[in-house]
Amino acid sequence: MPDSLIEARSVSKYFRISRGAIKEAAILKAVDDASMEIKNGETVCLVGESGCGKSTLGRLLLGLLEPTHGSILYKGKDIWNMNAREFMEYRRNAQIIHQDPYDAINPVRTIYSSLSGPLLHYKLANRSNVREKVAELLELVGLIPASDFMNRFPCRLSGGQLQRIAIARAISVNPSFIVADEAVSMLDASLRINILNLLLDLKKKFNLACLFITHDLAIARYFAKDGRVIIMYLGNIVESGNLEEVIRKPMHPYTEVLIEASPVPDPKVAKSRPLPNLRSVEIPSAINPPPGCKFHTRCPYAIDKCSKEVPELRDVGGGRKIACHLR
Amino acid sequence: MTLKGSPEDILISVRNLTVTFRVPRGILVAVDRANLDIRKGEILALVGESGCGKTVLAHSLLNIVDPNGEIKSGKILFKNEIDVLSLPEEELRKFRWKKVAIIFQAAQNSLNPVMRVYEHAVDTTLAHEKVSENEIYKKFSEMLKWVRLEPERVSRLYPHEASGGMKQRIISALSLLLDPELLILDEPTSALDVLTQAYILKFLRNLHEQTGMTMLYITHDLATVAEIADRVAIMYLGQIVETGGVDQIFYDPKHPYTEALIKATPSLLSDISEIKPLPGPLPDPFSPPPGCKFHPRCAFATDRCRKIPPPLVDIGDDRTLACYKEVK
Repeated sequence: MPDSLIEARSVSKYFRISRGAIKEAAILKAVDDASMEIKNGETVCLVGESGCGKSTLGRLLLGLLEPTHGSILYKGKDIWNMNAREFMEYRRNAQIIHQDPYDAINPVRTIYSSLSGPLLHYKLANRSNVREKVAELLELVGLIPASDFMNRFPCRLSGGQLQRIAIARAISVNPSFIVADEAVSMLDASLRINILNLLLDLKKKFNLACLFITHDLAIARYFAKDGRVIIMYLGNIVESGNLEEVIRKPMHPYTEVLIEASPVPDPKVAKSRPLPNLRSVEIPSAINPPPGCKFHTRCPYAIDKCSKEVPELRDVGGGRKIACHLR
Repeated sequence: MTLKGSPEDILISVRNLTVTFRVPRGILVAVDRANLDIRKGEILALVGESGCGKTVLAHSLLNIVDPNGEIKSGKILFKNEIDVLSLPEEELRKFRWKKVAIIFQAAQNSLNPVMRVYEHAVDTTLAHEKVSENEIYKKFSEMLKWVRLEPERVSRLYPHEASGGMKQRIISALSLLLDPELLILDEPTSALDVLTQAYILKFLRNLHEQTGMTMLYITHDLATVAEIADRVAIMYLGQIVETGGVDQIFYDPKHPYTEALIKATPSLLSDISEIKPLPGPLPDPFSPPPGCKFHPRCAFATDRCRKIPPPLVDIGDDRTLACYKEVK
């Protein structure tokens, strides 16, 4: 059995988009030559600003999008070269929890109907025991007593409860890999920890591998503990390594800036901190990204070379990789 | 009811405010006998979970209530002279934006999609003052520079051509056009990325320090409060339960709810093992618990807490608290 559960090998995803009244075709490189892997039961956080391609990379790993270049391997096998049966098995194993639970759960179906569908589809339950299984799932995600929730419609549940339903649905088919795409960012700050704790419990219980996509490093730190982090900028992976070490000692200037900008719930620290030293606040357009290192237009340390040569993601030892000419 | 601060220091005071909404399930009490003072020249953060009534309270300061809502009782006094809740419609229109401006939640969506950015400025100003377009443009350019946008380029844009962070800053610039005395910011950064958020917060803080403008900053996220606020008011199920200086609230919280909120806020510095979720579920707002509304979730609750609601009282050191644990 290969070491990694799921792996992206130099994957790129380009979208063809048209702009303006006269359709001028343009290529948006949402993910550009990214490589990564997730081992059995491992947690990897994918962090970056909106539009950096983190959700696209998550969708590529789930087989929801087909890469333009490169390949996605599940247990060493290219998912786009699988036969129908293998692909279905892979799909069952790779599940997603979306950002907005109000959009993710069908509003005209009862909770029972939403949760029983996948179980019946994958033949994990039959007509006679499916009700029982749904009740077990609801209890597993802390919606107790289950009978209170089964026949309700999503509009009668709060955001936090709906996110629990979304989690129940994702784990119902016994996956080995879960992508949580900003799974708590829509929730109240006070509710986030509850949902993260639930995810952590389930992760441990079922030995799930998890790709946790977020823009919030503090949340990532709480969720991943000793996991890994991957920092993305405009479609490229710019740094990866052990999460705690990256936060303590960032190497890529972009990572440094992200850490400096994260709000700190400590008034003395927060008020004395200077702003990150960026040359420009605005993110460049992803359609027309800067040449060379895409971060050079904002990077406080950029030199001539940065605007000309694309830095390779290279191993700098200790499990750390960075893509920067200067470090 | 006694709250500290001499009347001349207080820009706007809220006393015993109750706001209710008629909804299919019945009557929802969104703000329940709330008391709050905003002092001249401070940034006050109003913090609470969603549904606690913080937005409704802020809207009440401008006497804005949704059609199904009603300000049942209470008094809102601006500078100890203007009774906001009894202003006639025409005066109210002048009061809004000129005295108190508000940046609504998801303000990025409050720009008119078929108007260029500068047309918004013209529109807003002419609704209140008779000035030439040239003057408006001059003033607006100055405000845009304030928010680190290039006036020549940005004022010609249509809203869809601007990014989320730019739109947020454009709205901020618009809100400053008439030199309001109080600026209300309702979750101004919740839809933005961390970098943009850091810049917006710093910009607001700088603006405050240079002009002395009073601000009410509404959020559910304590981490950003530490960056921006001078004082903090904590709200729970329609009531203010604690107020105090930002350092007092973070380093020495008195109300168990405040303490729980702080413990539930992860950061890049703190020890993760000390992060704890809030205890218990949020009670049904249609049938809030009797006595102290926090008592079902509180580890220190006594019989008294279950029966008699604790009043918000002065506890010295310029702070107020509604809890029997500290105030016997």
